[in-house]
Amino acid sequence: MPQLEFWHFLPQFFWLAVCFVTLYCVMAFVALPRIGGVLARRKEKIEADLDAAGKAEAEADAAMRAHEASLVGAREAAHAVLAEAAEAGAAAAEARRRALDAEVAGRIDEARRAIDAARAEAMDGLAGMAAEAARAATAKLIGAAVSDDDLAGAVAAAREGRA
Amino acid sequence: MATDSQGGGGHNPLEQFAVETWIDIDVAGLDLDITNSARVMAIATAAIIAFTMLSIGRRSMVPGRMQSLVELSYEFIANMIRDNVGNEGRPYFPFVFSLFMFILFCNMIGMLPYSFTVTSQIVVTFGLAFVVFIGVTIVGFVRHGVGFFGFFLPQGVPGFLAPLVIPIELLSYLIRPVSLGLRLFANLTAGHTMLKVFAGFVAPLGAFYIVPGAIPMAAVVGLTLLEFAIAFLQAYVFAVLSCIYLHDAIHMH
Amino acid sequence: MAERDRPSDLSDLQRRIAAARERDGAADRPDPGKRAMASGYGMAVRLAIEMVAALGVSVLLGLWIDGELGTAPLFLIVFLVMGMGAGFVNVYKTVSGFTHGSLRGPSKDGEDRARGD
Repeated sequence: MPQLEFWHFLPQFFWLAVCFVTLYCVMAFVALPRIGGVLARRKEKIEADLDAAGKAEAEADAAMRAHEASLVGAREAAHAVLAEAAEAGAAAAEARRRALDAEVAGRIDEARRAIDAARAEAMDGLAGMAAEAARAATAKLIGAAVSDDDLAGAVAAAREGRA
Repeated sequence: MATDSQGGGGHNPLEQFAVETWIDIDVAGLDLDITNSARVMAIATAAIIAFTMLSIGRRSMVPGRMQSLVELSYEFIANMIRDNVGNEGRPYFPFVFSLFMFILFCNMIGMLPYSFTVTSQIVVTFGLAFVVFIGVTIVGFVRHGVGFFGFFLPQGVPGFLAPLVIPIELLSYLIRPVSLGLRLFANLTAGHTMLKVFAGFVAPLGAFYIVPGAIPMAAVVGLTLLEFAIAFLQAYVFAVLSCIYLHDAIHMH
Repeated sequence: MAERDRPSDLSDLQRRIAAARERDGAADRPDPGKRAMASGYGMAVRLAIEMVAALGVSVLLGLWIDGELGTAPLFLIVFLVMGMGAGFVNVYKTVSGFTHGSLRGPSKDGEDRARGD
C-alpha cells in the first residue's frame, strides 16, 4: 500500500497543516463573515419588506375603516337632519292647529255670550210681558189693580220657582 | 483514474495512491517536498477560497447560481452545528466549515480523471482526525477543567464497576480519532480501488467481446455515481462526528 | 351593505404577507425530511471500522507499553481484552446512536450518524 510509505508522512502532514491553516484563516476572518453579512442583510431586508408590507396593509385597513366610519357618520347626520326637519314641520303644524283651535274657541265663546245676552234680553222682555199679562189677568179676574212692584216680585218668584 | 488503466489487468489498482515528489524542498534537514498530494491540497484550498470569495464578491441581494451554492453550504454547516452542538457551537463554525469544505473538495477533486485523492492518504485523514481530537479535548478541558475527567465515568454506573468502566471509556475515547480517520481513509481507498479494478476489466474484456466489456463498464458507471455520493457523505459524516464530539466536550453528556 | 365588504385584493395581500413570513421563518428551522437510510452494507462497514480501530489502537498501545516495560505479552493481552470491550462499546454506541455513556438517552443526532458508513 503506497499510503503507508513512511517518507511522505512528514511532507504531506506539513503541507496539510499549511493548507488547512490558510483555509481556516481565510474562511474565519474573510469569507464566512462576508457570507454571513450577506445572509444577515438579506434577512433584514426581507423582514423590513415584510414589515413595510404589513404596515401598508394595516394603513390600508385603517383607511378602509375610516372611510366606513365617515360613511356611517354621514348617514347618521342625514338621518338627524331628516328627523329635525320632520320635527320642525310637526311643531309648526301643531302651532297652527293650536292657533286655529284658540280662534275657534274664541268665536264659540263670543257666540255663546251673544246667545246668552239675547236670551237674557228675551227673558227680560218675557218678564215684562208676563207682568202685563198678569196685571191684565188680575184686573179681569178680580178687578184689582196690582202694583208694579208686586207684579215684578211675583213674576220673579214664579220664574225662580220654575227655574 | 478510471481512464488511465488502459494498460490492462496487470496494472496495480493501488498505484493511483502513490505519492510522488513534485518539487524537492528541504528545510533544516526536514524533508518538506511538495508532492502530488500537497499539490492537490493546495488546489483544493485555492478552489474553496475562490468558490467562497468570488461567488460572493458582488454581495448581491438576489443571489446568482454560485452565490446560492455558497450560501447553501454556509447554512448547511450552520444548521449542522446548531442541531448537533447547540448555540455554544457558534465559535467553532469556521473550523467545521473549513473541515467539511476541505474534505468535500479533496474528495471531489479525487473523482476527476488523472487526479489524486488526498483523502485516501492515511496521513491526511489521520492528521485531520487528530486535529479534531486534540481540539475537542482542549475545548473540553478549557470548559470543564479537571471535571472533564468525569466524562470517562458515565453517570449511573455503580462505583465498583469504575475500575473496569474508566479504562474502557478512556480507550473508547482514544479510539475516536482513529476510527474517524480510518473511516474516511477506508471509504475513499476502497471506492477508488474498486473503481480501478472494474475499470481494469473493461478494456481487456471489451477488446474481444463487446457484451462482456459492457458489464464492467456499467459497474464502473454505477460505482462512479456511488463514489460521488460517498465523496459527499464522508465529508458530511466527518463534519457531523466532529460536531458530536464537540457537543460531548461542551455538554459532557 | 356592499361598501362594508373589504376589497378582495386587501385580504389577499394580508394572506400573501402571512405566507411570506411563514416561508421566511421556515428557513430557520431544520428540515426533518432529509434523512437518508443507512444501508445494511454501510452499517456493516461502519461497525467493522469501529472494531478494527479499537483493536488496532489497543494492540499498538499494548505493544508500546510492553516494549517500554519489557513485560512482553502481558499488556498486549490486557489491551486486547480491553480493546474488544471498547470496540463493543463503540459499536453499541454507533448502533444505538449514543455518543457517550451507556445510560445516556438516545441523542437527536443518532439518525444523522446512521447515514454514514
